[in-house]
Amino acid sequence: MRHYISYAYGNVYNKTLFTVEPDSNINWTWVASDGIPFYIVEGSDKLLTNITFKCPVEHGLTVGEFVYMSINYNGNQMFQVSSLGDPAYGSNLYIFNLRNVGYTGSTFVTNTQGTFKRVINAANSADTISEYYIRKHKIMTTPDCTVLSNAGFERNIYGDKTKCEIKSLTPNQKQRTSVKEGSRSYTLAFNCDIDIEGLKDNQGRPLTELFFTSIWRGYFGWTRNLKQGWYFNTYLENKKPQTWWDNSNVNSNVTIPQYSYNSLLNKGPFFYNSFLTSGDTIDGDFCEWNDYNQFERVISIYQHKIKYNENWFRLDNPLPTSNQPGYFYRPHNPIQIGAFSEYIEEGSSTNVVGIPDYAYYSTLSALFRWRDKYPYGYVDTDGVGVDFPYLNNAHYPFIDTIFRITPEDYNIPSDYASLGSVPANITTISDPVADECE
Amino acid sequence: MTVDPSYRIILSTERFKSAPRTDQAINVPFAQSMKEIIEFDRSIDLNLVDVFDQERQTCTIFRPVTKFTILFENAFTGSTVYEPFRDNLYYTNPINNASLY
Repeated sequence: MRHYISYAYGNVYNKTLFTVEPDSNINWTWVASDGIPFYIVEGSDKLLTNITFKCPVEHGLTVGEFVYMSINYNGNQMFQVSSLGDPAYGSNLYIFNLRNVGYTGSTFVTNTQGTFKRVINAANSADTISEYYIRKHKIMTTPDCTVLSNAGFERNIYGDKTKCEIKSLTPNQKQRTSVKEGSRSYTLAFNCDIDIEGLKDNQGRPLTELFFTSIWRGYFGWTRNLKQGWYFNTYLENKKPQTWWDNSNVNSNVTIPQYSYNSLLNKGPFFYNSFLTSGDTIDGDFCEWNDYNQFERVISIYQHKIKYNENWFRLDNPLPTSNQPGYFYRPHNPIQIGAFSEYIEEGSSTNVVGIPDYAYYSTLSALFRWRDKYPYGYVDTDGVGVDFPYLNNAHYPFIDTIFRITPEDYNIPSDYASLGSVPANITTISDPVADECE
Repeated sequence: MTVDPSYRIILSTERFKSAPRTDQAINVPFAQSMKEIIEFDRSIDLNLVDVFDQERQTCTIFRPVTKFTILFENAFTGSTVYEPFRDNLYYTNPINNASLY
């Protein structure tokens, strides 16, 4: 792994995305700016009081708000949300309902797919419609800036496990002590200052968030073709990795250069990823922004997928070699360095002094709208704000980061429900069994 | 107020031989080139808390630090014919190493 500091500096609206609905295997290919995908679970053809829509990601809607859909009914694309969820626990985050007022035709029939954008107020849709995009990050440090050291003697729950294997059990007929290495905790710091003077975030506001960006280096050589996607790409598609992760899909390629080398045994090629340096850019989370309430919501977290170098290490399964399971990790781990207010300020330039340059001008109310940036050290009654040490002309923010490298097919409860167990043909390394003599 | 350094002041009787003793005077211009510090500029009240907060709010330098805990378990097994991997890694499956390649 190589570690950097980055910040979100821009948005990409035309990124092609793909996902599947894990329960039904319905899939979508859409562009980020189209919004959030949905399919109709119970349509107008069921003659129920509601038409039920299900999304593969959290829709972010509340009752009374509107959805601007890619499908239309007699030219109308704006519909009001009447309720959320079905009887299942937690479904209100993924399911929304429209009142079935007697829609006819094929617009709202079951299994219809599309995308929608959230609208707070249909009477003021120009101001209150959300925009959807992929956040773009810019690297602020070089690899040399990183200082990674052991965090004392701390080890996590997955410690090292060792086992003596007698020579008749080893591939080269030599006795060895096999070690299944665990992982530990590190202190990650940077020996260069991070100066945010003059920097703006992806919405043109002062920076309130930096990111610890960690990129798989893989110099060991047994991985290749680092891929990128989002959390919604972790769902299995017909019990296999999504086609999004196939080597042939250029939309999931990372922009990090990949190099190769031959080993001292003149075997190869073994692949590894290049360093990033200050000024390089990298994709980030799938987000929603609404000008009216001046709020950004992360819809789906950006992920990388590590895949094995099939030339030299193969997983023992019948899946196609171009789309094997791998490991996911989250490259960007945010650290808050500032905070915007929970309330929204509103005022005109004739009555209010000090309107920030990032304020949004609402054409309907003819007023500027913005959230105040709280001063350092101020935390409001809701706990919003930052208060970290300031010393020697520098701020010292600190967070605890748990960096998970997650094997594909695991930690996805919906898959467990449909499969009843870990998917077949996927085997993991069991802990070495050591008896008391060892 | 300063004296022009180009002036050289000597005793009147020393100007030439048998010079008479006379009264001497120098016209010093009334020009001021310095002034005293105003009292409240010199003894301004410094509130440490205010100074600290002012510097803190204007500072744009950050040194972020994190405790970075890596969690990794359930690695996949696999097979290989590359000797260093095959002979040294617990990750490989010896039966498949022999049969798949």
